[in-house]
Amino acid sequence: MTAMLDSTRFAHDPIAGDSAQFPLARPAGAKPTSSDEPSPVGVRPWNLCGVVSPSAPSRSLPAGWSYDPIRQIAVDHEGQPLVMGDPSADSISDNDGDEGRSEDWRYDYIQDDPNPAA
Amino acid sequence: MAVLILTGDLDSTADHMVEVLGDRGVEVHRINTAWFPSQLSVAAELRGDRWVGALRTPHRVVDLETITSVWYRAPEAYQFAAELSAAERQHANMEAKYGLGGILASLPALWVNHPSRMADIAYKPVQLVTAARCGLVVPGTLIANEPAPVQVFAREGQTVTKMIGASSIIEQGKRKIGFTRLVDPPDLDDLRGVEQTTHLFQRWVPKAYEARLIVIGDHITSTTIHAGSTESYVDFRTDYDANTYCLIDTPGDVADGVRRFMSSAGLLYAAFDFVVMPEGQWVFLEANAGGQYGFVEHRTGAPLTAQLADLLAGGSRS
Repeated sequence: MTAMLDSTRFAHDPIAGDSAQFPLARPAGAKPTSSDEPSPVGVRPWNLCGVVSPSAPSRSLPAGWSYDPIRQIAVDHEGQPLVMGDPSADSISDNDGDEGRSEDWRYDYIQDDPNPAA
Repeated sequence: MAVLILTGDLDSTADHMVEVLGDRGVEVHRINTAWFPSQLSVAAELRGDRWVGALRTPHRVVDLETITSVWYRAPEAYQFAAELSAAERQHANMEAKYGLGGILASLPALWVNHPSRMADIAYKPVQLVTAARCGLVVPGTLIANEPAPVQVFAREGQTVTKMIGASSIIEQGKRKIGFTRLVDPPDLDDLRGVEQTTHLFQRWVPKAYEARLIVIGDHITSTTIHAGSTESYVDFRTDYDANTYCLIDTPGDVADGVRRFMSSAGLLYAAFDFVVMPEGQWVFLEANAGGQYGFVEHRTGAPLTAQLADLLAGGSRS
């Protein structure tokens, strides 16, 4: 007998080890969006009463940057190595360190939901 | 011999590493899984106990048998064709995860770090017990979704709360971050919502300063983080401009505990956060197996990129 693969088993398993996945980060440029409003007090998880919006905007990306597949680095519109700005610059929207986008390093960005179509 | 770097297209730390390894004459292949399947393909055949084949992009062929080290930094999610239905994308994603992800995860190379080991240690409760078992001092901690134990714990001493898994939320069209914060008496008067999910409460540790400890192979580099504002005194991430950094020697007992932690967790790289108490005791807060190191190198001059390059260049197939 062949067992059927439940393709959503990790997304719906409350204690599955993350290691059952091959965790991948959110694609660059695929900004998460949600217009959901906070739920009323009592419904909203208590720890969310302390969340705050970043006081400074995320570091903006230089216009026209691209990935140079030969040199294997990001470059600006003139083909020069991309300078991400002062690595000590503010970027408090990052969770860890201030050298740029560190992503919400939650290891399970996509759970087992597919990425939106390219 | 080749180093495989798995990360996104926009990663200045990886850019720097590509250049450093290139200067050393090390063959480097940088791959973003988001290129799959349109700009990245794979063909590998099982021969004996390993997969033999290659990854291909329009610009390079990566012979799997040549890979001696893998730097698993932040590869991005697969991108599938818009023509697929949602169900078909779900199917394609799972097949890619177990197919391409499985082939890569099975490479008999030096991993910094292996994604499964990183994922295991992502759980803060696992980190805390691992740290304690390894001889590190950890703060008293309560995880609960019952208000009564929270009341008891928080009234026994100054308490902070922090997120366990996800420190940010997207709502109202913007991102909001949950930093570590002190629990004030008014907070305890209204704990409605605690029952909705697990919450972490931790005893506040009196601090002289915080320390970021970077482990790269056998190297341990510690830097103090002195908070310069009220906000960053509780959570240094809230006000980077107010922080000052200085290299510091790692106490022997802390280094020993950290090495045991790394061995137990199967990691070769991690960024640890400690509180250093006024009397000098180091108290473990957390470890991030994917934590950033560039800002420590920039502020202190510690040769972290060189250490990591040494580690990656020295890998061998098992």
